[in-house]
Amino acid sequence: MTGIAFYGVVLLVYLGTDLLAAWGLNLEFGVSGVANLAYIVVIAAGAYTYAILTLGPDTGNGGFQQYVLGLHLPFGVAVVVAAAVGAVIGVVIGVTGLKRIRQDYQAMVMLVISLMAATVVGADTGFLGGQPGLSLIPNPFSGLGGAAGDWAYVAMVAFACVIGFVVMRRFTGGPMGRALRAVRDDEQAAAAMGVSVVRMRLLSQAVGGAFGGVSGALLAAFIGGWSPGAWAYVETLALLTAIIVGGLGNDFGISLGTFLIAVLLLQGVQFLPEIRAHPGLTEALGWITLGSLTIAFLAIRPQGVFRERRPRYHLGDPVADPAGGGTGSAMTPPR
Amino acid sequence: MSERELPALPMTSAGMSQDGGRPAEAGADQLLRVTDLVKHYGGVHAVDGVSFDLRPGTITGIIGPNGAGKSTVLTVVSGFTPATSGRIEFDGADITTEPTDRRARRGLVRTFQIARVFDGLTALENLIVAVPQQRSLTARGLALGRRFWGPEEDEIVARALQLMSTFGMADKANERAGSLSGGQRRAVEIMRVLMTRPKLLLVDEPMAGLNPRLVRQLEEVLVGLREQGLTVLIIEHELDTVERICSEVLVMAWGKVIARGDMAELRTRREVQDAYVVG
Amino acid sequence: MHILIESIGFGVASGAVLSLGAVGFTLQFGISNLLNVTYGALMSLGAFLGLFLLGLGLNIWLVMTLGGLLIGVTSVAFSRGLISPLTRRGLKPFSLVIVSVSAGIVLEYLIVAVAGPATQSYGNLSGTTLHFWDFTLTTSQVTILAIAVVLMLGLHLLLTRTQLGRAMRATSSNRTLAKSCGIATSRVSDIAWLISGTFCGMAGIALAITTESFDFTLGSLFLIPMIAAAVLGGVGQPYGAMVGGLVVGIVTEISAAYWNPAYESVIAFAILILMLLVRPRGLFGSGSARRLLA
Repeated sequence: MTGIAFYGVVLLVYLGTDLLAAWGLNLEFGVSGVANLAYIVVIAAGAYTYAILTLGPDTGNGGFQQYVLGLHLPFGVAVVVAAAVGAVIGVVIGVTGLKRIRQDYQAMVMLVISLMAATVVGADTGFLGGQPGLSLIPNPFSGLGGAAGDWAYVAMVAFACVIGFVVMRRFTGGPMGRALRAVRDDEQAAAAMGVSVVRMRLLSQAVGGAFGGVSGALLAAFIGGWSPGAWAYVETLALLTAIIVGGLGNDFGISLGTFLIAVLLLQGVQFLPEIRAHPGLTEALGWITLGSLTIAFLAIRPQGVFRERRPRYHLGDPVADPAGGGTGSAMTPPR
Repeated sequence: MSERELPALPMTSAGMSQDGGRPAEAGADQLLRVTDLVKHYGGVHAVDGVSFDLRPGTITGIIGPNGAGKSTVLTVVSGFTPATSGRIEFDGADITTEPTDRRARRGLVRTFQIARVFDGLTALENLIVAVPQQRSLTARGLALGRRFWGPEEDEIVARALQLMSTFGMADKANERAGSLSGGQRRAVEIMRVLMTRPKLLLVDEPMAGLNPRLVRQLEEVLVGLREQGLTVLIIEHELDTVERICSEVLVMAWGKVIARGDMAELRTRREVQDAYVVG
Repeated sequence: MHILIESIGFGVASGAVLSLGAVGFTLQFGISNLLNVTYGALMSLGAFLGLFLLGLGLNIWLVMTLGGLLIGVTSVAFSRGLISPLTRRGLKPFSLVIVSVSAGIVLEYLIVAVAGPATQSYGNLSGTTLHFWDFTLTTSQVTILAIAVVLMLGLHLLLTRTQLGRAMRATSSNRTLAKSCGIATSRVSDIAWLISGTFCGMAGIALAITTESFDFTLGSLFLIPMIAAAVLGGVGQPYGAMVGGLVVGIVTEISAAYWNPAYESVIAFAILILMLLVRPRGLFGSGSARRLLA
């Protein structure tokens, strides 16, 4: 496969997994109002879970890496478990918000959790491979070899995105999306109406976490390796910027934002020629641009390029389904 | 609000009175019984031993100078902050330690001094989201989708649209609640609590910032609801409103109830006048 | 027993640096109601500025002072140029945290753009190793400890004995009230940011002195124990931060001695989470720390 074609494959896989992650983060932040600055941790959890489930015992391959488990399970099972682990970790992180502390305090604690997780995993070489991480993570299509294997992977990621999109819409649209946004906008008033704030928050953390877990698993299986370098706390910012710029709470907007920022910007800078005297300059420029974009948008246009859109109803209209399904019955009130 | 006058009160329209306000039996046990309620914030005795009953199907007013503890009584009764001591019984049950959402599900709801609406939702959605225990929010509902909860959702939407027409705000139904004016937000907030078909409505200075015509409209709505069985506890500074719609009035000052009776008579009482001057 | 005392010694030494950093962080919260997460990046910037100044041949302690002041000035620019305008625009503290994380990233990668991602070192500045009682400390550790003590004392005197200090405490406690009493709150803020920024820069350089090598992530790594120290003492409470820094330092060193040194930051993190669950306003928290409770 030529370099360009392979790079196309890489971009597509990154786009797909980033979309899944962005949808998850949007559910937690854009729709439910929880700025999960530790989101990358659920992605990493999914990746590591996939790795330690699909790899054989760590004594294999000359025992050069050490990790727990190593159950040599098939791809599908590992991905599902990765989603579950992501959900659990997402809920655990979200529990920090249930205490009555101010939102920014909570956000800061989540940032610290993210830093902490990377430090702990990096320090313990026996748990998840430590700083060097895990490699030789099995790719389900490695048997196909070459171009076929790569494109098969792209197709699989696309399929995962289709399913992910349908599931996401169940939560971000319709009555559930409405209820989550109500909790986002005014938690106390929502509670006063009988909405169980705790249940709603934990639900969005779990589903958002599951998306992150799948994203991480698919990424790890493709790259074949996963180490703390892949999930520094800044990665959460990349996704956060993508959804802020795209438009919080707007499914289309955040998808476009993910494409432009997580994919084009951060990958695109790698195309710039590397300047010998300044190693790391191009990557640094990408992050500087990203951080500046976030600040600019939060200052000037916090709702993003595409505003959140709400469904419209009219007296006498058939009640259209905001989640994209069929139409309901026509309800015309008696005169 | 729109320029139109309120049409005839929503006695029979689909939006409001299918089962009225879930009225309790008139003359039956007290709907709300508050006994020796005390609330301290640190060293401040916001509420210092307040007791009163509310009969179902009545509108009771609470008046008094600023800082008398009126809002605090509403805050504690609705569960937003726990009582320091005392008992609260609602519809026969002891709810003293129950959380806000549980009280809301029982039919005890409140509004706030500064109207709290969900800014990111449309006005109509504010109403829709208020209906408790919707099928669409259950696990089954999530799994089965529109087929399962569609009819219920349609009915709620229709009811909400009808309610908004009643208040003369149908044209604002699809506007983001965050961009509405103060009076419109107040109306949305009240409509929202009405969607829950409450038994007891705690209203905190609803007339603040409304022009006289809107004040009258809101009064008529409250009276109409009372006639369908709703019980209301209203804090108001507009003493004319209180006189017009409240059958009984509690006067509070310094955290205590210092007088009760009907407004016309209370106006003449010395201790009430003193409280306003001094408090 | 010897190990215990020795660890306490190490703990006091590292705790002094943590205190310095935590005090700066907590001052910024007190005066601007902002949990300034950019603090970590500013510490990294301080360390790199120090590297540059060292390269000019200056004495290390002069470097620490100068570098600290430069970061102090940078912090004032940060607060005036970014934080104040955004606060005036109505950004909630919640959005400001994201802004400060982003600003931190911009700063860190500016460092990479200029100085590259490779690890750097100040070289061996430890000086001679001193043994007294059961303690084992290097001269530079002792000097840093002494500097930190002098600075804390200076801050204490400033806060309690001077008009400026009174103005700072008033502004921290209730800005609007302070303003209506005629206090020039923006001038007071600037000075508070200058002082806290200087502490931040000096902490960054002190860290670079005492660690073998560092890179642009230095600040992020030490944010965890510093925030833990600030939270332990009660965010917004300078004296609390001083005590918090010492406690975190000592507890961390003791656990490193008896358990696994790689898990130092885990202990700090555990302290943070524990405080959050049990007493979010911190040991000495009152007033400003209460603002953090919803």
